[in-house]
Amino acid sequence: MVERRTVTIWTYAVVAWAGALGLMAWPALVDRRLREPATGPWIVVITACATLAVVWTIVFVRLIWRRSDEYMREGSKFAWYWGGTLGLLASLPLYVFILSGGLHWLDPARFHLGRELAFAFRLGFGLAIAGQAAGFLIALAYWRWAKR
Amino acid sequence: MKNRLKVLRAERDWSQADLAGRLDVSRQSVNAIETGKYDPSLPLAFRIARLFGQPIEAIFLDER
Repeated sequence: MVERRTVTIWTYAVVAWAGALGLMAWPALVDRRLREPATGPWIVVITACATLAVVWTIVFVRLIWRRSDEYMREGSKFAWYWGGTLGLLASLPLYVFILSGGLHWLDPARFHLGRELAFAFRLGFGLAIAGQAAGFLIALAYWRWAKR
Repeated sequence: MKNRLKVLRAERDWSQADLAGRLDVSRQSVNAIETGKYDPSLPLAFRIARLFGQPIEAIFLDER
């Protein structure tokens, strides 16, 4: 039988994902033209929805953390450290492959990597890495400060 | 780290779920501790010791 703690944690996780995805998808559901580049106030609305989705997720991540016991927390720390780090490192060769035109090489009819798209791809990948690195440094600084 | 948790639990006729409930941890935690795959933190080790009314070193065995 599944423990109540586990059910609670999975419920939080599902609600977190569903809510965040719903908030992220809401602008596109309201205005289907958002497949094209958004203009004006919609950019603010989309960004606000993404911010709300992040806040929503943080609330549930915190609830999950509080409900987890130390064994689960240790598992989570191990998975995020090793899985997160190795996953990020594994994405580097893929990034280089795509950026150097690998997809175009595989399927020239479907993929074209122009200057603008290459810049957007670099920016997207860089943002993810910069965000993760900044988060790591902030969390480490906080931990050292809290345990000094 | 080896420990006598399984023996102590069996003496009281508790299931892993019973022990987990008394310690407010998951059954998986109890199983991992019993099999020596996970070493509990000091606070949890003290809770375990208090629950069984024994000192920590009587439950957890230093293998060195």
